[in-house]
Parts: sequence; C-alpha cells; structure tokens
Amino acid sequence: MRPLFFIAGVSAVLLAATLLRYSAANVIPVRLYRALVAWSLFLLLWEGTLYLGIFSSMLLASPSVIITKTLFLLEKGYLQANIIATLGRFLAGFSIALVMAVPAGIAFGLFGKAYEWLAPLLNFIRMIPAPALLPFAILVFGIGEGPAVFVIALGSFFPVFLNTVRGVREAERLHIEVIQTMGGNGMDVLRHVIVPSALPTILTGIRIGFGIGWLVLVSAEIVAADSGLGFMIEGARALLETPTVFVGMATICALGLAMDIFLKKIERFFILRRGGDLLTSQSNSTERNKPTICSEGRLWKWS
Amino acid sequence: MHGSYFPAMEREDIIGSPLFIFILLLLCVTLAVARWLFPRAVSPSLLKGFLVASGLLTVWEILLFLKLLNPVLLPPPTRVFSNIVYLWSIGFLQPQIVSTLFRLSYAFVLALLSAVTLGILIGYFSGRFSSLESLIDAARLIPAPAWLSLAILWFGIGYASAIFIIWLGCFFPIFLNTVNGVSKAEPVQVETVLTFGGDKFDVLLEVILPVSYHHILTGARIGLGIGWITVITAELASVDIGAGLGWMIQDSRILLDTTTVLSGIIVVGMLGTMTDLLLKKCERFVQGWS
Repeated sequence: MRPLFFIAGVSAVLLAATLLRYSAANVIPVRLYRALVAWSLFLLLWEGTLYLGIFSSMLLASPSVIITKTLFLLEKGYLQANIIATLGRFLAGFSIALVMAVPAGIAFGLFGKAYEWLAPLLNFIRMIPAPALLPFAILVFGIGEGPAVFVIALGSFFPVFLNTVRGVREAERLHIEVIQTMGGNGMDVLRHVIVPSALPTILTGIRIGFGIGWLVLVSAEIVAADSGLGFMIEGARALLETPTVFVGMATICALGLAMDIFLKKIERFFILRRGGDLLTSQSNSTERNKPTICSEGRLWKWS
Repeated sequence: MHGSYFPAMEREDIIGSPLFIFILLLLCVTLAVARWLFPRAVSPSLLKGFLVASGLLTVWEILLFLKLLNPVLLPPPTRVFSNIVYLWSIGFLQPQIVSTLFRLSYAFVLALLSAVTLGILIGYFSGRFSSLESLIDAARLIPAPAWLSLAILWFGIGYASAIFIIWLGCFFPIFLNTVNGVSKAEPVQVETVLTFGGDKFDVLLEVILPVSYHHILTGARIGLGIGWITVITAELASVDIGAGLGWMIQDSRILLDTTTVLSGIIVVGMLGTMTDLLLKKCERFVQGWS
C-alpha cells in the first residue's frame, strides 16, 4: 500500500464520519465518532512523520508498511501459525489456572481457618514474579510447551484464587442462615448463596488473571519458545525486520482487546442479570458493593 | 566466558539436614513461646506462616535426605540456604540485587511521577479523556514485554531499554487508577471550595489529591507487581548482560546449577515481599494523614 493512498483513505474516512455526524442524519454515536477522530489523527500523524522522513524507517514502521507486511505474512501462513501457537499455549495455561483456582478458592473461602494458616506462605509465593520460575520450569519440564504453560498458569492462578476466596468469605451470613432454616443442606447453601454472591468477584479475578497471564505469556515466548507471537517479534528484531515487530505487537494488542471485551461482556451479563449495579461492583471498595451484589429479593432471581 | 563472571562452583553445605530440621523446630518453639509471652510483638500470621513454611521445608528436606527426589532438579533447602550464604559471602549476590533494585526503582519512580501528573491532568479535564480512551486502551493491552524488541531497536542493549519497558509496565496501572481516583471527587466538595473563594488550584490540593491518594497507592502496588514481572523478563532476555537476579537465574539454568536458580527465585520473592510491605506501610501512613 502506498503511503499517499493510506493518508487519502484515512482522511476520507474521517471526512465521511464528520459529515455523517454533523449532517441531518446524525447516525454515528458520540463515543464511536470520538474514537474514530482520535485514531485517524493518530494514524495520520504517524504516517505523515514517516512519509516526511522525520524518523528513520529502520526504527519505526509506518501504518501502510505494516498493512502490506500483515497481508504478506498472512499469505505465507506465518502469522496464522504463530497466532495459533500463542492462543493454544495461553488457553492451556489459563484453563489450568481456572480449573485449579476456582475450586481451591471456594474450598479455602469456606474453611477460613485453613486459609489463615496458608495465607502468609501463599503471599510469599505470590510475590515471586512468574517469569522468574521460567528457568526452573525449563529444568523440570524440559524445553517445549511445558515451561510456558506452567508459568502462564502460575501467573493467572493467584488473582483468580484470591478473588474467589474474598468473594466466598463476603457471602452474607443472613442468606446462609435463611437457607439452613428452610432446611437446606450444605450443597444448597453453596448453590444458592455462595456461588451466586461470589460470582462477580470471581469474574473480576478472572479478568485480572487474564491480564497477568497475557503479560507472562509474551514474556515466556520472548525468553523460551520456538513459536508464537513473542518469538516472532524477538526473531524479527534480531533480523532488523521492524515491520514484522509492529505486526506482532498489533496482533497481540488485537487479541488482547478481543479477549478483554469478551470477559467484560461476561462480567456485565452476570452482574446485570443479578440486578447489580455495574459501576459500584467494579469499584475496589468492598463495603460499597456489598448491598448491591447481595440485594435481598434479587438473590432468588438467580436460581 | 562463564568463569570470568561466575564464582567457582565448589561450595560445601554449611549445615547438615538433622541440624537444619532441629533449628527449624527450635525456631518454631521460640516463636510460639514468644507469641505466648508477648502477644503484641509476634503477629498470629507470622507464627502461622512460619509454622507452615517450616513444615514444608522439613518435608522437602526429608524427601531429599531419603533420596526420593532427584537433587539435581530439586536441591534440598539446606543446600539452597548454604548457597545463598556462600554467594553473599563472596560478594556475588549483592551486585545482582543492587542492579535489579536500581532498575526497578528508577523506572518505578519515573512511572509514579509521570502517571500521577498525567492522570490528574487528564482526570481533571475529563471531557477530553473520552476521545483518547480508545488509544490508551489499545496501548494498555500491549503487554510491556512485547515492547522489549522495539525498545532494543530504539535504545540499544543496555539500561535504557530495560528501564523503558519497566516504566511502561508500571505506568498504566498507576495512570488508570489515578484517573479513576480523580473522577471520584464529589462535586459538592469541589463547589464548597469554589464557594469559599478558592481557585482551581485549591480544589486540586484540598479535594482531588486527598480523594485520589488511596487510588494512586493501589495503582502503585499493582504497578510494582507488574514492574517486578517486567524487570525479571528484561533480565532473563538479557537486555543488559552480566547483571541482575534474572540474569543470574537464567545463566545458572544454562549451567544446570539448580541450587543457584532456586536461590535467585527465593531472593526475588523476599525482595518482592519487602517492596510490597513498604508500599503497604505508605498506605497506612497516608490513611492516618488524610
């Protein structure tokens, strides 16, 4: 793609959006329009400075070059292979973390005494950055997928686990007693009170865990992998293939964005379904979101 | 090449397994007695943590003493402990700790200054934020290690690249929390200051900063956690050759020196806990202040 074509195209999109926004039709929402303006001005500035030769094209690839390179890599099948490798590794590690962290968190949340004994040790292990265990994992699991999956699982385990414990411990005593008075057993309490009231906190933990897992994934791929987007970036850097570095970063960003939006949608769905207020339940203060999450009457809507 | 950097690998265990277990037991008893005598001085979480940790170390030690695990892959605690003491005594560990902490604190302070300033500015003029939001969101979702290759292209191999990506890792949590904190300022309080003849600067000092302290500190703690991950990644990827705990861990791995790998991991964990506790202390200090 020629730089001038790119500049003309982006300008045309910007112009069309402005016309649509301020014409009688007024079809474009404000948020979308603002995002469009910010992005197109940013892209124009980026492309323009490189076109005028202000920055060296060795150090910074222009958007038009990145698009050309992306198409080329897609045609060769190189980009798809790396995306699949990255996603497979990430999903393996992340799902191991979820499968272990949520049941363990519920168990330790229910048995608070046991948690108090383990918490200091867990807090120490939590403070070891997951990539630091990568060399050790290589020694134990050998070179291959094992070390990367292990550190991704470790990185995303703790946010999910700690949030699950917190969510379970914050379940209302009153609701539990109501179920018990009505003759429900432990399983009923778990199903009708503990899991529903802890769910928003667990989902927040999953989203934080996703962020950390994604970070650790890229770091593991840069340090110890022979496939994946991180490997692609680092390999391209060694060859001074600046456009490929940018293609890799843009792909990582797009995949992260897609998963972040997906997780936010799930979180939103479950919180709104329970009649909670999205804004207050996302704040850090536990006192503030307690009444909204466990609002009486709404609790029964869940089951 | 290795010999010039690394100390000779001949070292002896300074402590035997039975003695180690005995000392752990003695410490546990001492702590329990101390807790019984002075309940204020020894916190219950310290005692519980120590008991669980020493139980685990004892099991680990015994498993290796009975040769049930391979000591090449998982050396016993006594050997790891002796190794830490040995590396410290020959003066090899200290430069690694200093260079890791220097990188981290340099970038962290830079991130704190830049993110708080920008966050307050953008949060204060929040009308402008919505148009920048999508750009910031996109930048936030590229993990800091992904910038490593670009940083090497831009700044070359050395301190600058490492500090750039650590700064980037710390920046976003602090920045987003600051923006969030500034937006929590109550309009009533802002208007009260304005009614009493204060200007915008007074609003900033009297309302916005006290309200956002907690959010900034929460962001700082998250940022520091990500900063630790990033600094170790930078050192594992040898952004700066020949210094840092991450580099020490990676190089010992290549030598199959699992003892030093584990020693490095434990030292990193202790330093991380200490920096986190330091920020927690700051949080308590500010809580009493505002």
